[in-house]
Amino acid sequence: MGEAWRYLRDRPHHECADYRYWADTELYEAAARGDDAHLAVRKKELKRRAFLTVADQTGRFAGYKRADLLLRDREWFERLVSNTQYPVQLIWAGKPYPADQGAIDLFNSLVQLSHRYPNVAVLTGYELALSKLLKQGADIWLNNPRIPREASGTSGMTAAMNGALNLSTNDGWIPEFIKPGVNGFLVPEADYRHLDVNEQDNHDAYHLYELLEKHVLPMYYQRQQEWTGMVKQSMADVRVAFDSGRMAREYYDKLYV
Amino acid sequence: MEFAIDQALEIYSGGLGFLTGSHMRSAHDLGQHMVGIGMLWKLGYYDQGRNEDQTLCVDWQQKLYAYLEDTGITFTVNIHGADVWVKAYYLPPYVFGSAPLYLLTTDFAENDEVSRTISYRLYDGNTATKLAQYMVLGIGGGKLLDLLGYDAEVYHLNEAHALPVAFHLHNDKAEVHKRLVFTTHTPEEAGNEKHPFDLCLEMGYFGGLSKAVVQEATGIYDDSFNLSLAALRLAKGERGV
Repeated sequence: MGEAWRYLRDRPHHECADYRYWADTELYEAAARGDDAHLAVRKKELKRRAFLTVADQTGRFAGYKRADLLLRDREWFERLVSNTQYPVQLIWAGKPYPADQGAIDLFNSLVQLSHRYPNVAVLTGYELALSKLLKQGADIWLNNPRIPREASGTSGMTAAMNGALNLSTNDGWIPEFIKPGVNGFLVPEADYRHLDVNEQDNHDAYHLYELLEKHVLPMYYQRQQEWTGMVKQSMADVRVAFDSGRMAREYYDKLYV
Repeated sequence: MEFAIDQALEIYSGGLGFLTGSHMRSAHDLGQHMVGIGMLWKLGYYDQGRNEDQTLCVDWQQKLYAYLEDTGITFTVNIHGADVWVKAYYLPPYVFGSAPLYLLTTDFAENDEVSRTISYRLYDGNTATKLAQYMVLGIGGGKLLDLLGYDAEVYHLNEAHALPVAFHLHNDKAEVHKRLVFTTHTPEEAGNEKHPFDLCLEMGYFGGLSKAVVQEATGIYDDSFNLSLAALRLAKGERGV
């Protein structure tokens, strides 16, 4: 599909999501006023509605999205979910393609796993309403597709519009958005062209655990101000570049003429 | 193929629908002169329930939408040598704040059971059904605009599902090239659908054009027909990601 890149020079911006429908305006208003305290209060309120979420992973459970990457090192996973200093709530949700037995099996294995931990949940009915609820409630939006398989992966945009930070591999829309440590967290890119899938998954899982344990969770619990700063940056960046009003205008003015 | 405009209108599955839903809402807010055409999936993508042990249960439940207007417009699309009746419903902008959207269905009394199932399931697993869905969306969508007297300047295909509209418009290649815009979000080879060329032909996917004409127009001479590649070559502008 080399031809796919032929027109890239003049193409309008990446996929987008509309601010009016998705964004939490109260969060944006607090950010605009510089009212960090209210920003935190509002996010907590949204979180209470979505029952104390910390990290979410959602999607179709397509293989390359690696919904189970966080389970790759079971010992490390155990340590993460049983950490009492930095407790986490993990939520998975998504609707596997009904004919994709592999995806359904993966979903079911996560359901089985969730029975063993009080702070791990797998939700059904991931449609617009649940999607919005989870994005409002999440602090971290986990997205770890196997590079370079993700075409788009837009759910992180609307998560950012609701004050969640993206924790992601560098694929899909992420390379155009993320400034690591400034508006989100990035799993360092594996040299995937020279690695087999197994090695790539090991690499990414290792760095995902490292990031969570050493950077993301300590910041969330110990350095609230820094966290809020990143949330505001992420909300601002996503609105500027990824509101679908811009996409619709560019389609209309450039592509349709 | 799918639009995620509101939770209550369950004709979507995931990312592509979320994107087109956002697009339709933004187009409405900006007052753009455009309409959307999609399918009224009777059973949606599926309802995600649970079995007794909490494992996933795929439920298929009929959806009923009182707020959709019956346009009274019906017409036929020739699929596999037989005329299939198509009816158009309408989602007015005021319901959810989205650009006008027409939704096509084959699920009514004029059709036999097989034809009715064309608009049952979003992304049906059966290849022939899937091709028939694309034909209803593409050829049917083109016919609907003709019947409405809409006189569209540009036809925007978001992914290649509605590609048969290109064959509906195919007076000459330059005309199609001028009016067709294609955007894709799956530049990866494996993500792009291919189907046996002869099956497409047999189904009437090319709207009565001969194999030679389609080969010439798309530059595809393989035994399998790559929908995105064809869309890319027929359209004037496209956008990969």
